[in-house]
Amino acid sequence: MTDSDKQSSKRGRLYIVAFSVFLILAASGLVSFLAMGEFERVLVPELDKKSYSLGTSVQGLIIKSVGYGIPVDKLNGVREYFDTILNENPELKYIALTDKVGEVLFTSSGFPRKEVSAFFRLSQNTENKSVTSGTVDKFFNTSLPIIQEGTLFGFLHLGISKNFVRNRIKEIGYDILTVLLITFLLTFELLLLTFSGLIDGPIKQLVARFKSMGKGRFANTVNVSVKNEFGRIHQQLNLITLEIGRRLQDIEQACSSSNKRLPENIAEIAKDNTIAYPDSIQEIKQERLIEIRGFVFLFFFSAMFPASFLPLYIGELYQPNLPLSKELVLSLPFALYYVFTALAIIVGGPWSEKIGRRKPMIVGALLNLVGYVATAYATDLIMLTLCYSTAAIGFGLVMVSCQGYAVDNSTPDKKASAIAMFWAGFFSGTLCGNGIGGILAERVGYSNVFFIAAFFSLVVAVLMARLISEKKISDDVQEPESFFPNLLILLRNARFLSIAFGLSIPAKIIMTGFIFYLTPKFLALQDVSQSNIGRVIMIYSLMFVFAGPVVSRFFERLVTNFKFTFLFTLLSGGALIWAAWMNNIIGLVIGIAFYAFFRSSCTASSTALILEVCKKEVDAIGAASVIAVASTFERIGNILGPILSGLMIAYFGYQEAIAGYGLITIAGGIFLMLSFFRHWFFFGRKISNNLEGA
Amino acid sequence: MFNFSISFKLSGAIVSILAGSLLIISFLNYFNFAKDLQIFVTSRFEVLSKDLKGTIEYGLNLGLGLGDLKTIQEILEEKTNEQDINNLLVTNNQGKMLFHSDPGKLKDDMTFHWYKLFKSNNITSMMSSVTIEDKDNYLLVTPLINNFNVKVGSLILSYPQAVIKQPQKEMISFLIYRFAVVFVGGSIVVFLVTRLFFKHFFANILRILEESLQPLLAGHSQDDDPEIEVTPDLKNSFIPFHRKARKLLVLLNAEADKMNIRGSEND
Repeated sequence: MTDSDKQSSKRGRLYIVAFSVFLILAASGLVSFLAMGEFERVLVPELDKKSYSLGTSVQGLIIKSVGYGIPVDKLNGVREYFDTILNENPELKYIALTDKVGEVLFTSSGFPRKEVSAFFRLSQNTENKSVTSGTVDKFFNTSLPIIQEGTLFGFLHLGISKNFVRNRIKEIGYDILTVLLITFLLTFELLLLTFSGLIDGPIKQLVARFKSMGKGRFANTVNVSVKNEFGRIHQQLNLITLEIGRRLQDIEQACSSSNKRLPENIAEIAKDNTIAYPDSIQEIKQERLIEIRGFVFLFFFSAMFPASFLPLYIGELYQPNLPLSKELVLSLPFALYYVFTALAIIVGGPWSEKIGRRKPMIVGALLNLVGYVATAYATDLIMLTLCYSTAAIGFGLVMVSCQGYAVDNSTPDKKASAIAMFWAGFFSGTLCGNGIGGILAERVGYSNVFFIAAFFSLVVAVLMARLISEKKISDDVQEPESFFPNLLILLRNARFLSIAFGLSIPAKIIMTGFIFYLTPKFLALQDVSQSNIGRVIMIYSLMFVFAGPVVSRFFERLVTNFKFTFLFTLLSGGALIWAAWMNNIIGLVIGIAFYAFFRSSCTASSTALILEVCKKEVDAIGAASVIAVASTFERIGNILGPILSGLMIAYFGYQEAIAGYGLITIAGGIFLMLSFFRHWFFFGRKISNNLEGA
Repeated sequence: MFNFSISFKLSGAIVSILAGSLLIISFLNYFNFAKDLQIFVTSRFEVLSKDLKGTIEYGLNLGLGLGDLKTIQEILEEKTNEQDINNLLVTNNQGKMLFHSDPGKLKDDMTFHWYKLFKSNNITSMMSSVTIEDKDNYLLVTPLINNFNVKVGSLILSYPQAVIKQPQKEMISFLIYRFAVVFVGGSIVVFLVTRLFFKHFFANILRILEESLQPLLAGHSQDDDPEIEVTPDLKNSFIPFHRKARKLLVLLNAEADKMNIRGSEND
């Protein structure tokens, strides 16, 4: 017994994706493993050479002292001198001075006496007065003779840890692990895009054509440009259409030429169906129907490259020629970025409704490209702000038109999952972009990362131009949404406003002000590498992609949305206060992880809470409109975040700013709770009954 | 029966991702290696340079002028026997060579050359070590400072760029070779496995549809709906279409036969 083909094709897809991910990860891991072996082979001799150079320098000093007549075992200040050398050369693990027979006279601090001393006694050969190298325990040991006027006085030994090169390699191991994680997500997303283009899209087209022909429409053929199974099936359908049209034409012409009436059944066929004669059949071009998720992933992947270093890049261009504090000035380009993104979304939405989604997507990708290239060449803050704001317009246009495309190309019952698909691609892209951006910045420099991001924007623009069509699969005619009337309706709902001001705005303030602005600056001050800064910011997106959906699905069965949202909001605020209290890198990283965990877990429930408290409004204007207005409030938070960060850092400092964000979050949660209880108190309904939609 | 086209394109997409991933990993490995190699090599020469600087400044602190420290010549000649060093030389602030590890070069007037090099690299008045490029060599320039904290000259250690660039080139070759081997091997596996998967899981659906359409075109009518195991979407749209097309073709063909109209091209 075989499975149905639906299960079979789903399984097939899963197997291909799993196989591809496994193969790509294995291949990448293999190349890295082979490279690391080669690193050791090349770098260890370099360490040996340095050890020798250091050794000859120290040897010279000791020989000079012995030359002044000081016995080698009576030298002063040797340990302190050895310790100084060790501090300046971290690859060295020990320096030791022994007498002719290998008895240890002086060592640096932390000398591994147990492991190494015996080696000195056994290996020293008073006949051999040249430099020797060898391994002892975990060290590479270089021994230099102390000879003054032909007389051997002792030996100087320098030890380098065998693991030193391995430890240096381990540092790049974190980068490779980051790239492998990103490769995993990239493979997954791009394969989804490929499946969409090669299999899902053509199947949808086939289904649409079968439906159309099933309703009796035999007036069109399809231009067959591919010669695979899909092409052959379309060709067969074309032949059927032509055959039906030709048969009808023959019969009608035969009746007309013999002046006979058309038989009733044939007349009925002609009336009930849309059949065209072969000469009049119109050939239509096959439209591609592709999931938007892959494009969303690619675009936001590259758009997030600068996230981990942008505050630092902006800092390099700072000149004190404005009567404002430095931190506030540095936050302005960020804030303006979000202003222009919001404006692009507000203007781009109706524009893309009017002219179609494809053009605004392409224009947005190209504006992003131009903006990034120009940002790379920026020489001062004003130029950077202008250029980066151009990229922001592109960002907003792509965001709103991709969302619109996802909704346009889904049936009414699948709109929610279409939006969810969009956000899945968005978060995966930002997660990968944050990580890769930091790694790239460390290796190729800030400006070059903008060029790489611009290149990706170009690729996305070209792919969109080639693969995206304007044809909607849904027959619903959608009227453009009126934003301002919807806003006025929702402004009358106090609980909606409490969610907006208590939850949505603070969450976005923290995202832009704390995660993307304060964190890179704070970590850079602690001398954290760019790669590690990127990884820390990745944690935020990682939680949204992986942890949040799982936890929220688990908890939504156990508690009401309000309780869940309220509790996790308090916990997320508490995580930030704890991070501030710790006041170190580890505290910050763990604080971000917990904040993001709690925040992402209650994202779905807070959206559900909005829809619950806005039941009347949902009935009046639709759920999508309610969510659109809620998103607009979030953008206020996006804009305020960097400005607030700049002010708090300038006037209070980093630790206090982080604590401040924690307090803002907790205050927002308490404000939400008070608002809901006020509503319960004045309207005499229990919160739980209210939320159950009584 | 299956078609390469879709599985080939799918394989192509996977192979492209494989290439991209291997490229990024290889770049990463190379950049880290290049950075570490640079650090290790330059720190070796910095150790040597610092040692010499200490010796020379000891003499300066005894009150001697830079040009009067005759032992430096001997020390420079001895130190040049160290691995990978081209030359060691000492100049005054005007760029005049005072000592050179190759005594024959002392007569050369390099004043203008050094002055131009230092000026173009903004190091005429620098008080810390710096490395600059000079044709195929790197020059590690270390200031010599007396005990009045006045710079009196520079110690220049010249080493060939090949010390760094040669291992880097070899690493590039190494990575390219490993990339090529892993990429080609991986691509072959991808093409084979994807073809297998595609044939097993997807080709059936499309073959079934093709085979169900052929009797319609050939004029062999069936009274019943075809028995096909495909996805619900496809089935729910295909069956009504098949019924409609079947009905139309049967009626039209029957009427055409009645009227003795010539058969279709598919007969």
